[in-house]
Amino acid sequence: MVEMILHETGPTSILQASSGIEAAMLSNDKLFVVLAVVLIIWAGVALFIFSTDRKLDRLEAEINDREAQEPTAGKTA
Amino acid sequence: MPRYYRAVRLIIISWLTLVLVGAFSFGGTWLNIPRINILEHTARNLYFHVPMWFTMMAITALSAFHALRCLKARSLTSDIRSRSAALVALCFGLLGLVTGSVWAHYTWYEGTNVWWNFDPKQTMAAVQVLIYGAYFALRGALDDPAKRARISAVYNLFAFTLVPFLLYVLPRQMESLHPGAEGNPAFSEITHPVMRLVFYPAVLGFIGLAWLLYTQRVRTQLLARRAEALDEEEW
Repeated sequence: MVEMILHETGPTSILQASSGIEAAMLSNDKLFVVLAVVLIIWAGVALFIFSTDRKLDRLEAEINDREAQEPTAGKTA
Repeated sequence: MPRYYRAVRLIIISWLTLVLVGAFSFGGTWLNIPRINILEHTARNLYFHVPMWFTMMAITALSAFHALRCLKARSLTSDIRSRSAALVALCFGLLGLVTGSVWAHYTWYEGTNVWWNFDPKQTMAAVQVLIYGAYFALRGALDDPAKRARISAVYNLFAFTLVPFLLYVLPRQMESLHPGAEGNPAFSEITHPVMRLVFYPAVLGFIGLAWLLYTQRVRTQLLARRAEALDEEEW
């Protein structure tokens, strides 16, 4: 990939040849590539938290319904 | 779920996202961290490794608080809360141990192939994590819910009183590579102001994340109890 860019633009300007995002990703020893990976993982974890909450909401509604049908249940403890 | 929960959850998750961006956004002139010999870029681990311990301490306090309420009010709901908090604390403690080991391997013990060297703080932290592990062993050994709640609440309070000693007092009395130990400058003296800009928000963010996980555990356990009661009804 780098070779291709070098070939197209000459050896002087890898960064100039890239788009803004690509230049940013390659700067600072490519540190922001790690940031991108970490953010993707974090997005996955966050989605997992959201979906667990949604499942809990649904289960709570279901149990509320069932308790409403059987008024004596769920009154323990 | 309570109406405020959605808002708090959104704030915590976006807050931590900003913390992550902050943790990596160095270089150039903006938030440029000092490059220290041996530490190099791993200084950024300050934003991840150390908050694990702050979070563990915060969530053990929550666990102890509910243990106390469990004893005072004889409430099994408090027992559920206390147990859920202890589980999250255990989880963050383990993460703290593992991240510390990896960090130390590539800095303090660079080139020696050492992963674990019984640094006092490391050892005490491991003991603390084991003490919370024993809490779950104890619970597993007791069948009667009321008895289990009372005995484990007492043990929980004992475990919590050890936290400041094992994580702060004792390691500082001994020779350790951690900051603040005998002869070492404390955190407040060596940490560059620019790093605190990310570090303190990171602590808050991870405590928030722990609270989200804790809340989910509590809701799961409460649901399980209600479902059990319904099942008994149907018999």
